Amino acid sequence: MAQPLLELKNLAFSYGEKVLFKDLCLRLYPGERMGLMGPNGAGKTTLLRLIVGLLSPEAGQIIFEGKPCHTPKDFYYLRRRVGLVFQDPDDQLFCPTVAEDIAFGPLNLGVPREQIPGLVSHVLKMLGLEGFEERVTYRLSGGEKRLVALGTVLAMKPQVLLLDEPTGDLDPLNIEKLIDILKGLSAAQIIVSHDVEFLKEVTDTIYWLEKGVLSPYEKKTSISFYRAF
Amino acid sequence: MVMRNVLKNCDPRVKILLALGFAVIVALTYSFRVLFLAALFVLVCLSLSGLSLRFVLQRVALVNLFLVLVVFTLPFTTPGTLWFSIGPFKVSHAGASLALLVFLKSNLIVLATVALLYSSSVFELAHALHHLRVPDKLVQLLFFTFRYLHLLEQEFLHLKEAALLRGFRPRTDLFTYRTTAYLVGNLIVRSYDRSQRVYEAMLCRGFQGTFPVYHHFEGQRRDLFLALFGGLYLVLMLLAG
Repeated sequence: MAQPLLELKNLAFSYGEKVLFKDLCLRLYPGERMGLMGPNGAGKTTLLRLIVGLLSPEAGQIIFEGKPCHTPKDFYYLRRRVGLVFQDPDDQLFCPTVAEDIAFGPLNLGVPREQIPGLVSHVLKMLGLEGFEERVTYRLSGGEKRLVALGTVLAMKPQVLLLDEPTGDLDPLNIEKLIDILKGLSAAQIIVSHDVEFLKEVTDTIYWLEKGVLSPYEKKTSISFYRAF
Repeated sequence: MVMRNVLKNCDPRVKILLALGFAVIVALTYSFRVLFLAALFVLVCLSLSGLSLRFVLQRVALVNLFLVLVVFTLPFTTPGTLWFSIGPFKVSHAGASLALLVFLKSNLIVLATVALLYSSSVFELAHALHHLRVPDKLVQLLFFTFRYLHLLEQEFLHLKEAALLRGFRPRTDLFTYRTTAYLVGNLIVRSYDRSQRVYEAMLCRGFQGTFPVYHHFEGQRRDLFLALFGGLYLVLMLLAG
């Protein structure tokens, strides 16, 4: 069997008294697309933040390309290849123009300057936002912001793409567009969402995260409502 | 129209150095001759900056608010030969000229800075400061102060709207004070959280403390002209003083 691209081994994490995971394991293989669902507060976002090293686990390992990551330097390397798109696009976009925001990641990675304008227009074309280069980021609509935020990460050509509720405030047409974009990528993906239909369309497997346990998702509409109380 | 915003496209490094040199010379001088030359410099910069007169006046008005006190007390408190007196208050020649000097200096420095630097984005300025070998920590401090002030304002507007939508009207009572305190408390917590998330999002995109810019500065002929003429003019101002 091939080596997993990303592996979480016996991960434990808690916020003070509240224990989120005790012994969480997960394997992501190259090109695999995984959906992640679960009740609010189950730790889906926390899991993504642990993977890229914004939080550190109390126990367990994050293994990328067969190499365990511990130090900030390990995670700096990991973040060059594992892109996280935040839930709120306003957190992600901070440059005055769309082009500058998309260029920020590649420039940090040391992509030669001559290639940047071509890369920016390529990413914008992929998102169906041709000619958006000089638009001011905080005057974009909610949907456009979300797509551009995705673009800022895509521009880094990640091997793994982590998406936190990417459908957020997208209209049905934009969701279709997002599905096409994501299906067209070769990167492995972990997508956190509450939208079952969307996940079924895009991902190969869907997992349910609850009480620190990952299990394959089955139809549990009635149960989860019951459990919420 | 081509001349209107020449400064906008100039290299921010040159602009920062010119503004700094100008500010130092004007701040240290006591000669009205130098100030006259400085005023000419400001006029040229303003006309090249493409900023509207109204906008510039608004900025300057804000500064003069702070100056009012100084300008109106200096003439009365500085000892020197008597110029005229209003009742028991005596105005000295030295005091009046000192007040005028302070007023002119402050305004000229602010005007030159606005004209030179306002045409660059904070991002460009941060990058330029890197090139000028300003320590990374200082540049980050500057950039994030600006960035977070903007976030603070956004969060404040959100909270204010939320309060107004639920029928909140400020009065002078305990309820208003308490609500305001809640708003301010919430504002601080939220802005902190949000700034943290922005920083993390930057980390996720390989941020290592420097600001790469999209439009890289290339030493163009225009920049050379600006540096040469600006620099020579500053030297002239120095000699005149």
